[in-house]
Amino acid sequence: MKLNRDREGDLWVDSLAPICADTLLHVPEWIESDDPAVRDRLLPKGSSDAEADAAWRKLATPEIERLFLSHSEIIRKDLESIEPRGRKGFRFRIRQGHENAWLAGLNAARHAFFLIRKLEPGDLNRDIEQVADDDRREALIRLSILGWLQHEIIENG
Amino acid sequence: MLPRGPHKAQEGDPSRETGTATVTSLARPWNVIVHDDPVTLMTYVTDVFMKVFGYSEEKAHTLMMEVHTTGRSVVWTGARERAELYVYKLQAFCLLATIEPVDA
Repeated sequence: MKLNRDREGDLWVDSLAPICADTLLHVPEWIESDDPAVRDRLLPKGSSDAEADAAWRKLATPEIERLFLSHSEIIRKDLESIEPRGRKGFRFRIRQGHENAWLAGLNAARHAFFLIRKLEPGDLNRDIEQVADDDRREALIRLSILGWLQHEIIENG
Repeated sequence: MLPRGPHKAQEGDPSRETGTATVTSLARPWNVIVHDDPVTLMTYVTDVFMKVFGYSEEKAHTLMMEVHTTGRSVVWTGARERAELYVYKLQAFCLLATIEPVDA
């Protein structure tokens, strides 16, 4: 996997293995998950102060929810450009100006995926190759793919 | 700016003229707290602090490390409206952020 910025300022994500492409295509679905644990994490409390938190839930939380849906739509739109390139794997384009939506969306997707697949904090410190459970190992690989793209977008910012 | 709650003391508002406690409450500073979570990447937290607060990379990194090692960090202190705006931006980047009054 590699990233390059073209003359127009768009970021091209290239040489994606099938599992990388498949993982990224699921990002909007994970952000939009209606799993209560996911919604709780993406829309957390705003204050330890009860009065301030009540106001937060009423006024700010709906706006933040709309922002996540906007991030999801931007990501879905960019992923429409994904294309197979034979032995070079898959590639797609992140339009200039969409980087922050991708960064926030990838972070939201990592949290959602972590909860949906019932991973645990200790899993994140394990050597993936040493994880015996196939399902858990595959989940950790997909989580690291999301983190890799986050890191690369920051590096190419 | 974020929409505010129903109570806003304005010039001429009786609560401002007679309710000393209310005015004091509105004027007191609030902390913006960022809490640690096991999933968010450290480089991402640093990047978000730089974008949201305009902090230098060094300051953003120091605050990120405080979150990581102690579980939380006060990343900004000031007026409540501004604190709410920062928490809004931090939560939009999917960080665990809250506000609390400084004397809490």
